[in-house]
Amino acid sequence: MRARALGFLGLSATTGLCAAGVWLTASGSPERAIAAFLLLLLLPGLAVTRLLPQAQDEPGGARLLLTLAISLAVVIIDSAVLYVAGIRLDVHSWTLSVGGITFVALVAGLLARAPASRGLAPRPQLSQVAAISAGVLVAGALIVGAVLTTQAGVRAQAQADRFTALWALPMGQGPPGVRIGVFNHQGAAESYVLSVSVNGSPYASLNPTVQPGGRWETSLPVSPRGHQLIVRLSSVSRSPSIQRTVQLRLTPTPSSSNNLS
Amino acid sequence: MATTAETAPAAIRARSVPRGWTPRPLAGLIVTTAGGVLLVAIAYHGARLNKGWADPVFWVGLLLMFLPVCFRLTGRQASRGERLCLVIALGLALYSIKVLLEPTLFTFHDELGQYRSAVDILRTGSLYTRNPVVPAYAFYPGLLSLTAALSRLSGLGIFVCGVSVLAVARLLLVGGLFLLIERLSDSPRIAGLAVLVYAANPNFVFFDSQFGYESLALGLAAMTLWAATAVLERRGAGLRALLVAALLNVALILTHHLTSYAVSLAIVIWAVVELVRRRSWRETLRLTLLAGFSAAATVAYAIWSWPATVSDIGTSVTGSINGLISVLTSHVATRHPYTAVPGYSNPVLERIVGLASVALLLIALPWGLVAVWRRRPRSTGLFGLAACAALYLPTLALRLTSGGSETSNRTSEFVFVGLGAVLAVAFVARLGSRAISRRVLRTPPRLLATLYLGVVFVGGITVGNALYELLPGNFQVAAANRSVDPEGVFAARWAARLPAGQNFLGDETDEELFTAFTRLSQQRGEFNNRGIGVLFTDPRLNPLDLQIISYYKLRYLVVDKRDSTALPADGHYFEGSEPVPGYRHPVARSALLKFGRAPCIDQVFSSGHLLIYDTEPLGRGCHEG
Repeated sequence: MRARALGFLGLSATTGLCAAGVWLTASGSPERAIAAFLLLLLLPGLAVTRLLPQAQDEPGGARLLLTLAISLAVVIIDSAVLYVAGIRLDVHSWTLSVGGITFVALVAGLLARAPASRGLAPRPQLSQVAAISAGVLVAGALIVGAVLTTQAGVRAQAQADRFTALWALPMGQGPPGVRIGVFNHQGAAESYVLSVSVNGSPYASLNPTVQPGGRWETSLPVSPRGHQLIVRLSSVSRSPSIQRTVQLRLTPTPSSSNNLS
Repeated sequence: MATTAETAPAAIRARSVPRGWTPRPLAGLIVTTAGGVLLVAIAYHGARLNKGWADPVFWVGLLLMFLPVCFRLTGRQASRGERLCLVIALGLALYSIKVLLEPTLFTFHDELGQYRSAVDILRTGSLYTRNPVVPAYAFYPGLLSLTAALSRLSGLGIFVCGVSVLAVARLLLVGGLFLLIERLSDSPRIAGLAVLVYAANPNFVFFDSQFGYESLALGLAAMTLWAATAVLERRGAGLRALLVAALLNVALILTHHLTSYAVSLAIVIWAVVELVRRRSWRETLRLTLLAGFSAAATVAYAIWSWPATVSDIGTSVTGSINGLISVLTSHVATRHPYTAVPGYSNPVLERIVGLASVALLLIALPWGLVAVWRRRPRSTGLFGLAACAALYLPTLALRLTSGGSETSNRTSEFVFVGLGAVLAVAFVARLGSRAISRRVLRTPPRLLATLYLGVVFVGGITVGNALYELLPGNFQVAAANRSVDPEGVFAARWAARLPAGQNFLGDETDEELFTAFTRLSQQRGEFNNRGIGVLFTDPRLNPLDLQIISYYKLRYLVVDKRDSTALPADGHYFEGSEPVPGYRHPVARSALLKFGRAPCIDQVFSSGHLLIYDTEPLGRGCHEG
C-alpha cells in the first residue's frame, strides 16, 4: 500500500510538473518539449496501467508497449471528446483534459484493490547490463554518425539547388500599389537589378543586395490609372545570368497612357 | 513434429526458450543494426551527390540490418526478451531510414495531404476541417489530433512531432505483433520470425513509415488484437482487460477506416469461432462483448464518415473489380505485374528479386498452412492467421490489373500478419526437428532460412517501391518524393500569402505542395471527357482552356517548366489527366509557357523553373489582344 501511495504521489507530481512546464516555459524549449512528450505519450498510459492487474504481471517490454498504446488512445479519444463538447483544441484544453484524465486514473488506481502481482521478474545481472549498455552506446554513436552524415548530405544538396524567386502582388489594403519581393537561394549574397515599368514606361529601378537565404521586399505606390506593371530582375554577376519577369494588370480598364503615381 | 520443442505443451515450450538475458549477442546485433543505418545514411549522402556507389551501399546497409537479426532469430538460443528487443530494434532501424531519406519535411503524397489537416487543426482548434486532397484524412483524425496536440503543447513543428509519433507507432506495430503472435502460438521464436516476415511486406519500410493515418493505425491494431487475446486468456482480470481493448479499439476507429474494419472483422469472427468451439458463452462472454462493441462502433463511425471514406477507398475497390473483370474477359491486357508504379519498371535485377520473393512466399505458403494444422494450437487465433495468410494468393491476382495493383499493395499490411505467422510456424517446425537437433547440423538450414528471408525482404521493397523513390537525389520529373525540391517548397510556402479558398491547378507535385502549405484548393476532374490537366498540354491557349478555367474557377495556375524536359517517371504529370496509353514525348515547353503570352493572365511569381499565373483579370472582364 505504501509503495502504491508513493507511486501515486510521484506520478501526480510529475503530471503537475509537466502541465506547469507546458504552461510556463517558452514554446519550443527543450524543457517544454520534454514536459509535453511525457504528458501526452507516457503519463496517461502509466496511470491507466496501474488500474490493470494483468499489466503489472507483464514483462517490462510488454508493459511499456501497453503504456504507450494507452497514452496514444487517451489523447486521440480526448481530442474527439473535446471537439464533440465544442471546446477549442488548444494548449489549455489539451493540458487540462489529459492531465485531468491522468490524475483521475491515478486516484482510481490508488483506491482500487491492490493488484495481485505474480512477483518481480528476474533482474539482469550487472555484467549483463554492462554488455548491453556498451552495445547501446556503440549503436548510439553509429546513429549519431548517420545523423551527421545525413545533415551534411542535405546541406550539400540544398546548396546545389540554387534559384532566385521574384514576385509581385497587388496591395490588398491602403493606397493602390504593389508589393514586390525577391528571395535569394543562390548560396551567396547577390546584387540584383530590378526594373519596374508601368504601361510600358520605366517607373522605378531598384538595386537590392540580398544575403543567401534572405528575402527582400518593398512596396510601390501605383496610380489607379496605371494598367500594366512589369518587373524585370537581373543579376549579371552570375553566369548564366539570372533573369526573371513578373507582370500585373492593376485596373480593369485598359489604358494606353503612362500615368504614374 | 510432435517431438519438437516448439510443438510440445506450453510449459515445455516455455522452458525451450532461454529465460533471462543473453546480453552479448543482443549487444552485438544492436550494433550491426545501427551499422546498417549508418551505411544507409552514407548511401543517401552519396545519392544526394549523384555517386554511382550509393545504390549498392544502400542495399548492403539494409541487409546488414536485416540478415544478422534473421540468423539469430532462426536459432533456439535467444531468450524471449532478446527476441523482443531485436524485432523492436530492427523495426525502429527500418523506420529510421525513411526519416533519413527526407529528414527535413514530409514529401510523400499522403504526408503532404495529412500535413494540411494537421495545420488546419492547429489553425482552427477543431477537427474535421475539409481536406481538399483526400476528404477521408479529416474524418479519421487520430494521427492528426495526436500530432497537433504534441506540436501545440511542445511548441515543436508538425514534422518533428509527426516523426516522433510515428516512431512510437512503429514500436507498437512490431512489439504488438510479437506479443500477439507469441500469445497465439505460445512461442517467442515463432513470434520473432513472424515479425521478420511481416517486415518484408512491400509497404513496411517506406509506406507504413510515412506520416499517414494507416502508419499509426497498424500499431494500434496490433495492440488492440493483443489486448483482445488478453480478454479471453486472462480470466481473473475482470472487465478491465475488456475496457483496455475497447479503449484501443475506439482510438483505432478514429484513426483509419480499413484497419479498423479489418480488426473489427477479425474480432467478430474470432468470437464466433470461440463460441462455436467452446460451446460455452460464459467462457467467451467478454470476447463476445468486445466483438459486439467493436462491430457496433466501427459500423456507426463508418456510416457517419461514409461519404468521405468512399471517396478514398471506393475508387480503388471498384477499379480493382472492374480491372479484374476486364482482364478475365480479355478486354484489356494484363498489367506488367510486380512493378512498383504503373508505367515504370525497376532495373532487371530488382525485378528478378521482386519476382523471386513472391515465388518464395508462394512456395512456402502451403507448407506453412500444413505446419499450422499439424501444430494444433490451443488458440483458434493461429488458425485465423492461417486463413488471413491464404488471402495472399487472391491479392496477387489483383496485381495483374492497374486498378487492382493499388488494392493488392494496400492489403499487404494485413495479409502479411497471417503470412508471417504461418511461415514462422513452418520455419520453426523445420529448423527445430529432431533430424537436425545437433548444433553443427542446424547452421546450414538456418543460413538457408536467413537467405530466404533476405530475398523476401529485398524483393518486398522492390515490389512496393520504384527505385527512384528509395534514394534521395536530384529533381526528377513526376517522380513522387524526388520531385519535391527547395524551389517547389519555397513557391508553395510563398503561395500561403495568396487569398484563401481560391482554386488552383498544377502538376501533381505542385498540387500536393500547394495544398499542404497554403489554403488554396486544388481542383481535379474532367471537362468534355478529358482530365482538366489538358490545360497544360496544348501549345496555344484555346477556347477549351478558357472554358476549363472558367468552369473550375481556376484563379491560379502553377507551371513547372521542368515538366517539358522529361517523361514523367511515374507515368503521369497531372493526376487523372493523362493520355492513354501514355506519353511518347514530354509535354511541350510552349504549352507550359503559353499563359505568359496570353492576354489577361498575370504572372505573379517566377523562380526560374516555377511560374505562378493569376487569371483574375480574365474574371473581371479583361479584353486584351
